[in-house]
Amino acid sequence: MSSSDEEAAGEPTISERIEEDKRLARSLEGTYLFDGTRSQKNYPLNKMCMSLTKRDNRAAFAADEAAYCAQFGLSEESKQLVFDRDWIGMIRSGGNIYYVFKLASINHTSMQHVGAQQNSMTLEEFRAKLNAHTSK
Amino acid sequence: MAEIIAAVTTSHVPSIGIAMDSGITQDPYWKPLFDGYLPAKEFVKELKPDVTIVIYNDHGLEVFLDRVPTFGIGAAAQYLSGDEGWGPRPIPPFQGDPDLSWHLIEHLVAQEFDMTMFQEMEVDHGFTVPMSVFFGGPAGEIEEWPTRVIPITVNTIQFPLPMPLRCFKLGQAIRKAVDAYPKDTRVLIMGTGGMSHQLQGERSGFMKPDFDRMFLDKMVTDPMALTKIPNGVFMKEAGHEGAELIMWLVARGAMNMDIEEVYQHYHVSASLTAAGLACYRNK
Ligand SMILES: [Fe+2]
Repeated sequence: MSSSDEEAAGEPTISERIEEDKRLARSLEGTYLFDGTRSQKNYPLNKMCMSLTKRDNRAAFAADEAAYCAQFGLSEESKQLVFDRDWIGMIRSGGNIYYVFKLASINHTSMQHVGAQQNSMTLEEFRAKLNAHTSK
Repeated sequence: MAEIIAAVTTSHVPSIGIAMDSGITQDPYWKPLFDGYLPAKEFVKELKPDVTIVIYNDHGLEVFLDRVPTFGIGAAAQYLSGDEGWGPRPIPPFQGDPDLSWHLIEHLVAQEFDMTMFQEMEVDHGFTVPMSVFFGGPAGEIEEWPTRVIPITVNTIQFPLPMPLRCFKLGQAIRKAVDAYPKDTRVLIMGTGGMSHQLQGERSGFMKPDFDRMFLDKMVTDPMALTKIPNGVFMKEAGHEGAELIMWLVARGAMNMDIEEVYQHYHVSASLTAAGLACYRNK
């Protein structure tokens, strides 16, 4: 196989570039690269969460969370994460923060609350972490 | 003839919108941020743009994971503020400019940018918060928006994201398209998102002011250096969600190589986000 003209000597190939990007992103502790692999992991959870942008759906969810989740085909584990509002659990299981945050929003749970819980911190501790950047 | 008269950039945090809508912008927590926005509002007021092109990402209001357009553009006559889970923001509807939208679509596709076209779309905080930051908030401050709008979306929610250089080139293509529009139209381009922040995972709360300051500097002095930063590095330095900064490069690409920074404001933090804002004019 002849090497393509685009691959100048010493330049990384496209495959190498992609792999390097992913390797770096996956090496970040406490980070869950939301790529195709992860996007397939818990599609039903993300779909259920997105549906909560409709008022009628929020009412149906509030009336019977288990039945509502079942309609979207959530696994038993995922349902429990939803009942527990276990934000870090949802992220680890394949939840995308933007969809998962719709679930937080329906109860006016702030991103700071979600962040604190993901860090296993109290809200005060997490706010201190955020404020620590101010002095830098 | 149409022309791009300026570029402005800003972070787009939901809680900034909530602060405006609930009238707490003068609270001690928020006052430094909103005071910092005042000169930018003055700048935009004097510009009097006929149309504002807003570069933003949809955060799961219109776009689900079933189909994720890398680049999209609105061609609607009107755009409403959508319901992200806590009800729509109480702001006036946005008037579109379908004629310019379709001109952009034709000229972008002709320049090999294959845009996804939206004839119906609602807009989320990524769009509405920057509009309020520059044109007026809290809700009720303005009866109607003093500019027509065209939304342009960039995928920043599911990797792979478009490469930073591609974003810059999209900006260049937008510039060419606007320059070729025959109607006298003053166009403002607005880049949104960032700066450093991470919302997901145990790393949530991450911010990196040093990186943001470097980014703000290079926006003026060496934007091409920013286009060479791989998205993985953006994630490392600016956070998983901070990679949104690639959308600032679209706005930058629509400007001359030589630009002047008219105003800059940087505030750590607005909730989990290092909030940056800048106003640029061509030299
Ligand atoms: Fe965003």
